Amino acid sequence: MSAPGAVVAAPEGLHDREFGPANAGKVGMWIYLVTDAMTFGGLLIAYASLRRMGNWPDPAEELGITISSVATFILICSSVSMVMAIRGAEMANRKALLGWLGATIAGGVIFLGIQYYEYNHLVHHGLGFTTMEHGNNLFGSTFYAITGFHGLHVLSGVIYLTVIWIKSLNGRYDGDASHVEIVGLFWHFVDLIWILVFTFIYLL
Amino acid sequence: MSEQSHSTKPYLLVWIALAVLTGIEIWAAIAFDGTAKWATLVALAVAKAGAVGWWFMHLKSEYGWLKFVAILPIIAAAYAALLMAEVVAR
Repeated sequence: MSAPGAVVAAPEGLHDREFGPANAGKVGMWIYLVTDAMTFGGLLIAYASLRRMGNWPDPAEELGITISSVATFILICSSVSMVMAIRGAEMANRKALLGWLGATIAGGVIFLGIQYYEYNHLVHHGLGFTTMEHGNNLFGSTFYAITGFHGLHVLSGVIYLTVIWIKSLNGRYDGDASHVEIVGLFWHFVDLIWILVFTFIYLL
Repeated sequence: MSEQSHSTKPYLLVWIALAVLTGIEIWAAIAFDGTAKWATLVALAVAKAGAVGWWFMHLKSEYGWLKFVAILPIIAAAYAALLMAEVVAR
């Protein structure tokens, strides 16, 4: 009998014909991530179309890439700590699970702190959501819309990870990595999207 | 312990690759201009995103419809590229 709220995996050797060993929670998360990817895709298409209209400032000059590069590196590191947390759960190593999940949460919090600092800095230098002192107003609108939407995902991920961390304290996931793997999918997706946002919004 | 070390090694290699590719990206953004810059940065971003999906999100070991569902955004990205080509050619 599985615990209430457990993600029930297909019994060993009885994998689903269409989805293999993936449980319902994992398939559900993948379907959600695909729709979310479409949303980010729509935002990036809009960004590209508006940028083609002209009078677009050089993003690297306006935004700077030092701080966003540090944020990128932190997210990449947090993806690795997430994988290590899943390994910890699989091996019923609660100490490792809690430690690596904590490191992942810390990475997300640092990323959000950097984003707050960056926004504060840019606003004080004349880049608002609907106004830009020395260029196209749409530059600010698209920048804040896309990076803000991503930041909201990071915040959601931090909250989601914290819930999993709290539940891990009493051994809820010792030897059962299914929930940790699902939150990991979400977190890696946040990293994957940032890789594209960093390139398209800051570097190009 | 040896089993754990064996299983985490690919992830550490991917992590190093992602960090190195990010460094190359930043360098390319400063060193290149025009089409070379666009082509290099887009190729690197796609490679990095692909690595995260393939290894970190375990797409490598999924099969059946799950793999198909996961690659749907790539079809959408191809459609987006077509739209952008039309905008550029206008």
